[in-house]
Amino acid sequence: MNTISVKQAALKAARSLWRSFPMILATILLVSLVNAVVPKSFYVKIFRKNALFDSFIGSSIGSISAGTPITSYILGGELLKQGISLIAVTAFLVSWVTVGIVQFPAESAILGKKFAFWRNLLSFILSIFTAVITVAILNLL
Amino acid sequence: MISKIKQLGGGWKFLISMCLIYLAILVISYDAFVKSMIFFYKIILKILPVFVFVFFLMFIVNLFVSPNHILHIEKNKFRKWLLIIVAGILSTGPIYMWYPLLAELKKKGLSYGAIACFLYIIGR
Repeated sequence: MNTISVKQAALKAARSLWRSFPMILATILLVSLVNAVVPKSFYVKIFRKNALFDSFIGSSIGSISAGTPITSYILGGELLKQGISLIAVTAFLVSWVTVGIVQFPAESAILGKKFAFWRNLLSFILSIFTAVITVAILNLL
Repeated sequence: MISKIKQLGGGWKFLISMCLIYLAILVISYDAFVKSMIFFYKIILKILPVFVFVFFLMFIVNLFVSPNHILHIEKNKFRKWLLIIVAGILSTGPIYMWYPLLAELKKKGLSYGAIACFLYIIGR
Protein backbone atom coordinates (compact mmCIF):
# COMPACT_ATOMS: atom_id res chain seq x y z
CA MET A 1 0.00 0.00 0.00
CA ASN A 2 1.24 3.54 -0.73
CA THR A 3 1.96 5.98 2.13
CA ILE A 4 -0.85 8.26 1.09
CA SER A 5 -4.09 9.00 2.90
CA VAL A 6 -7.55 8.36 1.45
CA LYS A 7 -8.16 12.11 1.20
CA GLN A 8 -4.83 12.70 -0.57
CA ALA A 9 -5.53 9.84 -3.00
CA ALA A 10 -8.98 11.26 -3.82
CA LEU A 11 -7.59 14.80 -4.23
CA LYS A 12 -4.80 13.55 -6.49
CA ALA A 13 -7.30 11.67 -8.67
CA ALA A 14 -9.58 14.72 -8.82
CA ARG A 15 -6.65 16.99 -9.76
CA SER A 16 -5.52 14.60 -12.55
CA LEU A 17 -9.03 14.45 -13.97
CA TRP A 18 -9.44 18.23 -13.69
CA ARG A 19 -6.21 18.74 -15.66
CA SER A 20 -7.57 16.52 -18.47
CA PHE A 21 -11.12 17.91 -18.22
CA PRO A 22 -10.88 20.80 -20.74
CA MET A 23 -9.13 18.59 -23.31
CA ILE A 24 -11.70 15.79 -22.94
CA LEU A 25 -14.65 18.21 -23.05
CA ALA A 26 -13.24 19.88 -26.17
CA THR A 27 -12.75 16.44 -27.77
CA ILE A 28 -16.38 15.53 -27.08
CA LEU A 29 -17.47 18.87 -28.62
CA LEU A 30 -15.37 18.08 -31.70
CA VAL A 31 -16.76 14.53 -31.96
CA SER A 32 -20.32 15.91 -31.71
CA LEU A 33 -19.60 18.52 -34.38
CA VAL A 34 -18.09 16.00 -36.82
CA ASN A 35 -21.00 13.66 -36.25
CA ALA A 36 -23.57 16.40 -36.89
CA VAL A 37 -21.87 18.10 -39.83
CA VAL A 38 -20.73 15.07 -41.86
CA PRO A 39 -23.75 13.48 -43.58
CA LYS A 40 -24.02 9.70 -43.68
CA SER A 41 -24.22 9.83 -47.50
CA PHE A 42 -20.63 11.17 -47.56
CA TYR A 43 -19.31 7.77 -46.59
CA VAL A 44 -21.08 6.03 -49.50
CA LYS A 45 -19.95 8.61 -52.10
CA ILE A 46 -16.25 8.43 -51.20
CA PHE A 47 -15.72 4.75 -52.10
CA ARG A 48 -14.88 3.52 -55.65
CA LYS A 49 -15.75 -0.20 -55.48
CA ASN A 50 -12.09 -1.24 -55.89
CA ALA A 51 -11.05 -3.52 -52.99
CA LEU A 52 -7.44 -2.32 -52.68
CA PHE A 53 -8.14 1.39 -53.10
CA ASP A 54 -11.27 1.21 -50.96
CA SER A 55 -9.48 -0.50 -48.06
CA PHE A 56 -7.07 2.44 -47.94
CA ILE A 57 -9.98 4.90 -48.27
CA GLY A 58 -11.89 2.94 -45.63
CA SER A 59 -9.00 3.21 -43.17
CA SER A 60 -8.54 6.91 -43.97
CA ILE A 61 -12.21 7.78 -43.50
CA GLY A 62 -12.46 5.65 -40.36
CA SER A 63 -9.42 7.46 -38.95
CA ILE A 64 -10.97 10.90 -39.20
CA SER A 65 -14.46 9.83 -38.25
CA ALA A 66 -15.85 10.14 -34.80
CA GLY A 67 -18.66 8.62 -32.80
CA THR A 68 -19.62 5.43 -31.07
CA PRO A 69 -18.57 2.06 -32.53
CA ILE A 70 -22.27 1.23 -33.04
CA THR A 71 -22.52 4.13 -35.53
CA SER A 72 -19.67 2.57 -37.50
CA TYR A 73 -21.49 -0.79 -37.58
CA ILE A 74 -24.63 0.86 -38.96
CA LEU A 75 -22.60 2.77 -41.55
CA GLY A 76 -20.69 -0.41 -42.40
CA GLY A 77 -23.95 -2.20 -43.06
CA GLU A 78 -25.10 0.62 -45.35
CA LEU A 79 -21.79 0.55 -47.22
CA LEU A 80 -22.06 -3.21 -47.76
CA LYS A 81 -25.58 -2.74 -49.15
CA GLN A 82 -24.14 -0.18 -51.61
CA GLY A 83 -21.73 -2.82 -52.91
CA ILE A 84 -18.55 -1.66 -51.15
CA SER A 85 -16.13 -4.55 -50.58
CA LEU A 86 -15.98 -6.31 -47.22
CA ILE A 87 -12.24 -5.54 -46.97
CA ALA A 88 -12.94 -1.81 -47.28
CA VAL A 89 -15.77 -1.93 -44.76
CA THR A 90 -13.69 -3.98 -42.29
CA ALA A 91 -10.78 -1.54 -42.63
CA PHE A 92 -13.26 1.29 -42.05
CA LEU A 93 -14.65 -0.35 -38.88
CA VAL A 94 -11.24 -1.21 -37.41
CA SER A 95 -9.75 2.24 -38.06
CA TRP A 96 -12.89 3.96 -36.73
CA VAL A 97 -12.25 2.49 -33.27
CA THR A 98 -8.45 2.23 -33.20
CA VAL A 99 -7.29 5.39 -35.00
CA GLY A 100 -8.39 8.76 -33.69
CA ILE A 101 -7.42 11.94 -35.52
CA VAL A 102 -10.20 13.76 -33.65
CA GLN A 103 -8.85 12.50 -30.30
CA PHE A 104 -5.23 13.13 -31.33
CA PRO A 105 -4.91 16.52 -29.54
CA ALA A 106 -6.15 14.99 -26.28
CA GLU A 107 -4.04 11.84 -26.64
CA SER A 108 -0.84 13.73 -27.47
CA ALA A 109 -1.39 16.23 -24.62
CA ILE A 110 -2.06 13.54 -22.00
CA LEU A 111 0.03 10.57 -23.17
CA GLY A 112 2.72 12.29 -25.25
CA LYS A 113 3.03 13.41 -28.90
CA LYS A 114 5.42 10.66 -29.95
CA PHE A 115 3.28 7.88 -28.48
CA ALA A 116 0.05 9.33 -29.96
CA PHE A 117 1.64 9.71 -33.41
CA TRP A 118 3.12 6.21 -33.61
CA ARG A 119 0.10 4.47 -32.07
CA ASN A 120 -2.25 6.09 -34.56
CA LEU A 121 0.05 5.54 -37.54
CA LEU A 122 0.62 1.86 -36.73
CA SER A 123 -3.08 1.34 -35.98
CA PHE A 124 -3.89 2.84 -39.39
CA ILE A 125 -1.50 0.49 -41.20
CA LEU A 126 -2.59 -2.51 -39.14
CA SER A 127 -6.29 -1.78 -39.81
CA ILE A 128 -5.68 -2.55 -43.49
CA PHE A 129 -3.82 -5.78 -42.65
CA THR A 130 -6.52 -6.78 -40.15
CA ALA A 131 -9.18 -6.22 -42.81
CA VAL A 132 -7.33 -8.35 -45.39
CA ILE A 133 -6.67 -11.19 -42.93
CA THR A 134 -10.23 -11.13 -41.54
CA VAL A 135 -11.80 -11.39 -44.98
CA ALA A 136 -9.29 -14.09 -46.05
CA ILE A 137 -10.19 -16.20 -43.00
CA LEU A 138 -13.92 -15.62 -43.59
CA ASN A 139 -13.51 -16.86 -47.16
CA LEU A 140 -11.74 -20.00 -45.91
CA LEU A 141 -14.43 -20.89 -43.39
CA MET B 1 -7.43 39.53 -21.40
CA ILE B 2 -5.35 38.28 -24.32
CA SER B 3 -2.32 37.88 -22.04
CA LYS B 4 -4.47 35.80 -19.64
CA ILE B 5 -5.60 33.57 -22.53
CA LYS B 6 -1.94 33.14 -23.58
CA GLN B 7 -1.13 31.92 -20.07
CA LEU B 8 -3.74 29.17 -20.24
CA GLY B 9 -2.76 25.55 -20.93
CA GLY B 10 -3.28 23.84 -24.29
CA GLY B 11 -6.40 22.05 -23.09
CA TRP B 12 -8.17 25.28 -22.12
CA LYS B 13 -7.14 26.94 -25.40
CA PHE B 14 -8.57 23.95 -27.32
CA LEU B 15 -11.83 24.18 -25.32
CA ILE B 16 -12.12 27.94 -25.91
CA SER B 17 -11.47 27.36 -29.64
CA MET B 18 -14.22 24.74 -29.78
CA CYS B 19 -16.64 27.10 -27.99
CA LEU B 20 -15.83 29.83 -30.55
CA ILE B 21 -16.35 27.34 -33.40
CA TYR B 22 -19.72 26.41 -31.91
CA LEU B 23 -20.66 30.10 -31.72
CA ALA B 24 -19.77 30.43 -35.40
CA ILE B 25 -21.81 27.30 -36.22
CA LEU B 26 -24.75 28.80 -34.29
CA VAL B 27 -24.63 31.86 -36.54
CA ILE B 28 -23.99 29.96 -39.80
CA SER B 29 -26.27 26.96 -39.31
CA TYR B 30 -28.65 26.72 -36.34
CA ASP B 31 -29.69 23.22 -37.46
CA ALA B 32 -26.09 21.90 -37.31
CA PHE B 33 -25.63 23.60 -33.92
CA VAL B 34 -28.71 21.92 -32.47
CA LYS B 35 -27.71 18.50 -33.89
CA SER B 36 -24.22 18.87 -32.40
CA MET B 37 -25.58 19.91 -29.00
CA ILE B 38 -28.05 17.02 -28.93
CA PHE B 39 -25.23 14.58 -29.78
CA PHE B 40 -22.97 16.26 -27.18
CA TYR B 41 -25.69 15.91 -24.52
CA LYS B 42 -26.20 12.21 -25.37
CA ILE B 43 -22.44 11.50 -25.15
CA ILE B 44 -22.15 13.34 -21.81
CA LEU B 45 -25.01 11.26 -20.37
CA LYS B 46 -23.29 8.06 -21.56
CA ILE B 47 -19.83 8.93 -20.27
CA LEU B 48 -20.79 10.28 -16.84
CA PRO B 49 -20.82 6.78 -15.29
CA VAL B 50 -17.50 6.05 -17.03
CA PHE B 51 -16.10 9.32 -15.62
CA VAL B 52 -17.10 8.28 -12.10
CA PHE B 53 -15.66 4.78 -12.66
CA VAL B 54 -12.35 6.21 -13.97
CA PHE B 55 -12.15 8.55 -10.94
CA PHE B 56 -12.71 5.56 -8.64
CA LEU B 57 -10.01 3.54 -10.45
CA MET B 58 -7.55 6.44 -10.24
CA PHE B 59 -8.33 6.75 -6.54
CA ILE B 60 -7.59 3.02 -6.07
CA VAL B 61 -4.38 3.30 -8.12
CA ASN B 62 -3.19 6.27 -6.04
CA LEU B 63 -4.00 4.46 -2.79
CA PHE B 64 -2.79 0.94 -3.51
CA VAL B 65 -0.61 0.81 -6.63
CA SER B 66 3.05 1.74 -6.32
CA PRO B 67 5.82 1.73 -8.96
CA ASN B 68 7.00 -1.58 -7.40
CA HIS B 69 3.64 -3.17 -8.21
CA ILE B 70 3.89 -2.03 -11.84
CA LEU B 71 7.48 -3.31 -11.99
CA HIS B 72 6.31 -6.65 -10.62
CA ILE B 73 3.55 -6.86 -13.25
CA GLU B 74 5.93 -5.80 -16.05
CA LYS B 75 8.40 -8.59 -15.10
CA ASN B 76 5.98 -11.43 -15.85
CA LYS B 77 5.25 -10.91 -19.57
CA PHE B 78 2.42 -13.44 -19.86
CA ARG B 79 0.58 -12.11 -16.80
CA LYS B 80 1.12 -8.51 -17.90
CA TRP B 81 -0.41 -9.00 -21.38
CA LEU B 82 -3.22 -11.17 -19.98
CA LEU B 83 -4.07 -8.46 -17.43
CA ILE B 84 -4.03 -5.73 -20.08
CA ILE B 85 -6.18 -7.75 -22.51
CA VAL B 86 -8.75 -8.64 -19.84
CA ALA B 87 -8.82 -5.02 -18.59
CA GLY B 88 -9.30 -3.77 -22.15
CA ILE B 89 -12.14 -6.21 -22.85
CA LEU B 90 -13.93 -5.36 -19.59
CA SER B 91 -13.49 -1.59 -19.99
CA THR B 92 -16.13 0.57 -21.55
CA GLY B 93 -16.67 4.09 -22.83
CA PRO B 94 -14.75 6.24 -25.31
CA ILE B 95 -10.98 5.81 -25.26
CA TYR B 96 -10.26 9.46 -24.41
CA MET B 97 -11.92 8.94 -20.99
CA TRP B 98 -9.12 6.53 -20.09
CA TYR B 99 -6.22 8.83 -20.96
CA PRO B 100 -5.89 10.35 -17.44
CA LEU B 101 -5.77 6.91 -15.74
CA LEU B 102 -3.26 5.63 -18.28
CA ALA B 103 -1.12 8.74 -17.79
CA GLU B 104 -1.15 8.05 -14.04
CA LEU B 105 -0.12 4.42 -14.59
CA LYS B 106 2.59 5.56 -17.03
CA LYS B 107 4.05 7.77 -14.27
CA LYS B 108 4.18 4.67 -12.06
CA GLY B 109 6.08 2.73 -14.73
CA LEU B 110 3.57 1.09 -17.05
CA SER B 111 5.12 0.61 -20.48
CA TYR B 112 3.89 2.33 -23.67
CA GLY B 113 3.33 -1.11 -25.20
CA ALA B 114 0.83 -2.04 -22.50
CA ILE B 115 -0.93 1.33 -22.90
CA ALA B 116 -1.11 0.92 -26.69
CA CYS B 117 -2.49 -2.62 -26.28
CA PHE B 118 -5.14 -1.43 -23.83
CA LEU B 119 -6.21 1.44 -26.13
CA TYR B 120 -6.39 -0.92 -29.11
CA ILE B 121 -8.64 -3.38 -27.27
CA ILE B 122 -10.88 -0.82 -25.59
CA GLY B 123 -11.58 0.86 -28.92
CA ARG B 124 -13.46 -2.19 -30.25
